[in-house]
Amino acid sequence: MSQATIRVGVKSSDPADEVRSDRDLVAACLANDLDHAAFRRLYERYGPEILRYLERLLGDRDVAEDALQDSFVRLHRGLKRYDPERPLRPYVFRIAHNVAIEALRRRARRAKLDPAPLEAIDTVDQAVERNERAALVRAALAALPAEHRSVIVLRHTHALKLREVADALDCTPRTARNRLRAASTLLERELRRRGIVPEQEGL
Amino acid sequence: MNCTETRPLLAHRPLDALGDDELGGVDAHLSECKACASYLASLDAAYVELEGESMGSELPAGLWSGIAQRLDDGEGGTRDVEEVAEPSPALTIALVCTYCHDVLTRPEARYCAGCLAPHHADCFRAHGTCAAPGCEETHVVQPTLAIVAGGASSQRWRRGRRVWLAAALSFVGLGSGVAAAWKARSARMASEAAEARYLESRQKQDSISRDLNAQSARQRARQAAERRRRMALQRRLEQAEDESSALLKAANGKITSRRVYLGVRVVVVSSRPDQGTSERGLRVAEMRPGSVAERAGVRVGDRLLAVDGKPVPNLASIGAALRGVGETFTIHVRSENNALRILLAGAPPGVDEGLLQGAVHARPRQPFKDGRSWLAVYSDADLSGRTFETLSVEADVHNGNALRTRHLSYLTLGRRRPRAEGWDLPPEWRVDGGWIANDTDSGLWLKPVQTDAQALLRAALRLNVDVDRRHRNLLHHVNPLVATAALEAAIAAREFAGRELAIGMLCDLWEGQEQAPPQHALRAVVRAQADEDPSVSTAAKRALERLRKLPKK
Repeated sequence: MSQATIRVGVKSSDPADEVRSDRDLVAACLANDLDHAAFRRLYERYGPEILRYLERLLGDRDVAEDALQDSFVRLHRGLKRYDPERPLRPYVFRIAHNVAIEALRRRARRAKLDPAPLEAIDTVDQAVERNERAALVRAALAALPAEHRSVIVLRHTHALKLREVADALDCTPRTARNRLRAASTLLERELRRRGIVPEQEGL
Repeated sequence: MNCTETRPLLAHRPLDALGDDELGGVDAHLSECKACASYLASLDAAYVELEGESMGSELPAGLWSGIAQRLDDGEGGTRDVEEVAEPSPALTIALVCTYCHDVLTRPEARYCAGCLAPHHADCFRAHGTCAAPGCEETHVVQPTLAIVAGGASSQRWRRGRRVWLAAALSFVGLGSGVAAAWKARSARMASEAAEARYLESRQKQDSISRDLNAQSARQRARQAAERRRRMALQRRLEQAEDESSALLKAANGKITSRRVYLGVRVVVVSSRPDQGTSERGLRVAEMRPGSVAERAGVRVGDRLLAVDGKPVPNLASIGAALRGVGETFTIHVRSENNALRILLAGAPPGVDEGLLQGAVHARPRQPFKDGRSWLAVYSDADLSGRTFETLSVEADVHNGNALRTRHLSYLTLGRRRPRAEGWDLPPEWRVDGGWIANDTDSGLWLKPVQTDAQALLRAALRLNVDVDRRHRNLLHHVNPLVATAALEAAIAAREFAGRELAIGMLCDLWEGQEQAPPQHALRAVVRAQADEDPSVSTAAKRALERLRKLPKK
């Protein structure tokens, strides 16, 4: 179901595209995809949501677009090793996740050399100015560490199943659930701190 | 479940991260408790806000062309790109199936009878024809490699092959008869057995050659690492030398030293109440002609009170006071008639230009057989057309345990070597068991103290001269990085007897510094831990403990 809701946004110039499964496309990529037509299908299929995911994780459109490029180049490289029996979507997310985390680390290293104002603080300021609830929620999410942010975005925004989250994070479903729980607890705390969720008194 | 149990779990509810057992309890509680339900509602609302955020979901136009470009540049690739950390010692050429592009082991490969493109047997069958572009061959062949096993088995193999060929012929000729099928089966069994034997012997051979290759590769790698390390050390030493010669050049050919000497010999006077004297301090006993003190107007018998405004009760304080002076400074003295005089002194401009421009080096030479070491003096300066009659040198000489100043003044220079850099020292200059390690403020300046001492230290370490405890004093005259490079070289030199001491010196050197020792120095000590000499390795271990305590930055 989640797949269906996500694929609504996919624009397909070719009606046959809907019919071609990920598996076929991957096989086509591997066989003789000289003009990258098959790979482009994959890109058009997963690009938008991956871009959304990266944007949310990195908080910056330009950086996200760069990361999207890197992700798909890496995906192309990884297709050979990818087991076609397994669903492709979590695999794409996994690659995007790794690319994003690397980008964040790079940025953190740079920030150490050249301290720039933290993004989360920025967002909070804007939120206070506009007094917008949605912005506050977003700021709460932005305040989480990237690993936690990622797992919430994957599960909530992209509606990945627990198994798929596990695939994307390259861990067991059990670990994925534990990470999810840690992340949701943290997010709850951030939300509470911003007054979006009431303080729990007397408990 | 009650509220206290439920609340911590509620955070997981919107993400559906609850276990089945928990879910039932939580839902049951929610249906009863309004407070918890409303709390969950507020959480859910927050998550809805999160969803409502719609950032651009459209793919930007130019992005795909960028990806395609990078793929065409070979960055992507559906080829096998297994990154191998270390090159495997035995080179193998992997076969890839023309049809499925998967890896193919040699014994299972079937080759197209037309173009010899390798296939999996299954792949060829699935495809029906050769998968190579433009080739429509429908038959495969199989190599008949020489079998390494004994003659009987190869006989059998050959017979098997004949049977197989016969079978194939009869298969082609007669169609699918029962007999042909039976023969083909036996042929296949025979060829499979041969394959297994071949594989086994091949593996045995491979493992032997792999072992040999790995051994020699390890050895080569070790040698290469050793060579690289030596070269890196050499480079660092050269770099240090370049730096010091750059310093000299920056001095514009003149030898300048930031060190200023008064050029006086003082005696320490202590108060003697029994003799009615209460004065304490330093009294000038002797002065070198032309020295700073003389030019300022100090007289023999004066008592030194202060230099540059700083009181000088003892010898060490003179050095400390002089270290910070500018071009001019004051000297407070009290004359023998108890008059206080304040004198204006000028720091010497450096080298006496009329005398010599350029650096003078004192280099230790190979010691004599009887163990006495001696020095040779060289100069960078252009000495052509000049004659020097006398050379006044006052040098700090390491002699015995203490760094003592020895006056070696007005010694006549020895013969001048034609086209040589300088002069050999006359025999009376030889300092038994000591080095000239300091510069002087007399008529001729030795090289600035830093580079001089550094050269000595390096030379001492290189010439395998026994590094003694007294040489540690040298360290304080040397740029710590230069000294470190020299000590590193010493620690790394297997044939050098003073490694243990060099390690200790490295610690001594850096314990006094504000900075942390450079990483490569630490690595040298770490390597020394594995030294065959137990005294060296224990020294290294102890040194590491000391070095780890030092500040990190």
